[in-house]
Amino acid sequence: MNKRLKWGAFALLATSVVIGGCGNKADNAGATGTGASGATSGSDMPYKGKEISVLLEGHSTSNAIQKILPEFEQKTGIKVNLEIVPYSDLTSKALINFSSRSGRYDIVMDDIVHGYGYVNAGYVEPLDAYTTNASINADFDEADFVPQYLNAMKIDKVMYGLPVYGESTFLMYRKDLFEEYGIKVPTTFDELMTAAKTVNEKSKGDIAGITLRGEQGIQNVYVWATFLWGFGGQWLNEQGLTDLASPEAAKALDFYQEILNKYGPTGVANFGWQENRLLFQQGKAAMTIDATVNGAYNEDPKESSIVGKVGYAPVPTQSDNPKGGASSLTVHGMYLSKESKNKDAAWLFMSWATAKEQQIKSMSIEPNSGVSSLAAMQDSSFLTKFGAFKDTMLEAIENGNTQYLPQIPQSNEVINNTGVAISKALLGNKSAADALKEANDLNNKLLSAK
Amino acid sequence: MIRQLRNRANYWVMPVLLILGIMSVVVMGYSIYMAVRDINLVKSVTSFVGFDNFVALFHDSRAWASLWRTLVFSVSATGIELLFGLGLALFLNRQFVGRKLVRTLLLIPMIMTPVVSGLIWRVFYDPNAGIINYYMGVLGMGSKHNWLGSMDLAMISVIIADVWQWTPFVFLILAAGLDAMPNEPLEAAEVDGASPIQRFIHVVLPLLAPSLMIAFLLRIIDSVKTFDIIYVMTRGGPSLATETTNMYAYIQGFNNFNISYATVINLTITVIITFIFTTVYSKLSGSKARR
Repeated sequence: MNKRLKWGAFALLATSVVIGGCGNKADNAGATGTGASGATSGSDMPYKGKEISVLLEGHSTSNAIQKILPEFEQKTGIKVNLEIVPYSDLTSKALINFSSRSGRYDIVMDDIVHGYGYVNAGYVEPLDAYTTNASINADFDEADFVPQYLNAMKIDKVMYGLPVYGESTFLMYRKDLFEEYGIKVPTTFDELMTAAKTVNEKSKGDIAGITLRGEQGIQNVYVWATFLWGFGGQWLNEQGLTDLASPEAAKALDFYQEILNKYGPTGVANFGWQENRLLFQQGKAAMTIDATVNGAYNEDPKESSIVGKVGYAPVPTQSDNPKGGASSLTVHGMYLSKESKNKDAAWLFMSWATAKEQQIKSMSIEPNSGVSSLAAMQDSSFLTKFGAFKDTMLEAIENGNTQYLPQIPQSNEVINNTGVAISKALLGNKSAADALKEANDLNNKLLSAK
Repeated sequence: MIRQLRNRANYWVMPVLLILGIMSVVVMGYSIYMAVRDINLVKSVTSFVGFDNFVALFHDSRAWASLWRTLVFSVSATGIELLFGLGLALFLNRQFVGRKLVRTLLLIPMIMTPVVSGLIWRVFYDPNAGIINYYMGVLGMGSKHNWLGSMDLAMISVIIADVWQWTPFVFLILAAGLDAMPNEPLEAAEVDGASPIQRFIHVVLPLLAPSLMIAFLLRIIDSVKTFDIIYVMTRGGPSLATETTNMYAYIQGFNNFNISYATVINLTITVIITFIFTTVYSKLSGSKARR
């Protein structure tokens, strides 16, 4: 009896651990658009009756596209199944479908950081044959895209995606507090430290001098990279290996942990984009450096208690001779799957969804400050909604660094290793230099094993 | 006659066994296939690498540290849950007004989806706007506790959330055990003049041992594979403080896309954990048999 029980327990354990290992990831499949198609038939609808599936990132642009989708379905007769998932689940979902070569999604929207991996593995289609095909490129207007965004979608001059939205990073500060405490807007990291210190001291610790993201992984890396470039460091050297063991990188990480540990909010080591944004919106911090889209949240009375009190400035830099700009340039685009069975219909959808008419409409539907169309940026609704930070945002995009995050197929792993190093230094587990050395070794092992 | 019936019953069990068997063989076989290759989803080619992944894992200090954290998490969470669950079951094992209501209310955490309870606890733990720090401040115990953002508290905070969610489950099993317990031995002990403590140690506990064992096994298996609440609350951070093996395998598989390496981590961990627990289990049940 005992023996049988023992084997029973063994089997139970074995199966459950294996099953557990598979990961119980919540399937966050969002709404699926069902449009009323039909309408008139005729020779102007050569793709009528075709059906395509699109995987979109949870973002204001995607929500807007979902709302105006019936217009596209009516115009072309193509049925579009939209699936919207959060950014953090997007890439693994896309990759699992890509790697099974199932053609489950005709179009996938993602960050260019992951786009390099897609292109490298041969999952996505080069778009040049579509942009030049006069019978299906009516919605495509190359000159209307922000040039930096469009260039970011190209690898070796071949275009692989259409930019959906883009953003950069800038410094957000509380104008009222700066005036009260007599602080001038920092342009170097030393001034940033002094400003954080002044706020912290004069408010007797009530208001954090600065808040930044500390959560390990892409979260802290996305903001820390500003300091890496600003102190004169870089991700990759000429040999294509990582350059994080440099004194500049160590200085950047040391600064990051010092300013947060001395003048940052409690719990910053677990702050992602959301926590960081909320703390600043609630008026509990005087400064933050983050994505330009945060401007739209700061100025939204439904979201924020500091509307009109926020000043926007380019991110500070320290080095006179940086190897690249300290503000990011992030572009998220739509990619066309190689396994798609209706590539022409899919292309029609992606060129329609990124065209200026739709982007202009999207701004009145959702707080979408990241439009990728120049015409949308000159539209009056762009000015009225995002006027408070528009100029600084455009300047940041203009100077945005496309290499802000490493643009290589293995970028995700490099970012994860670095994120752990930042977290270790932030918690005081390791010195900045040691933590970065560790990440650097891991990265180089990865990059040299080709 | 009975033997015939039993044989006939076997035919009814066969299809299920067959399906389960095929499924586990296929899944296991495919896992082993992945384990000896170097599949990474952002690479277009893969090749056979033999035991390279296992060798790499052997030298991977992050994996071993995560295994240690898995043990710390599982053993302490399960231990506390058993203790609290037993206390609750004994305390509520009597007649009082509202007994049913109290029992029902106790089960609410267990019914909740772990992702949801993780999110709730994440909000509770928020160091600047969370309810826990607020009330601790009101009670004069300081309002600046860095629950999820510090090395020393992050693991404890996650364990607290797990205990909150799963103590009711232990309570449920033990309460059922207490309900099913015969009254005669207790009465006999009482007649013989045993004190309440003696009665608890010498009568109630031995009779409850099978229930305790089931609760222990189910909980320890479950907590070894805990993923959701850690994923939601800390993502394994800060500074890897809450990175259990499952979390690490997730990061390798779904953030770094090293599918093969993630498989190797899970396979190895499965073997190790199974070995440890079967040893523990046979020790525990062996000592019981001797007595």
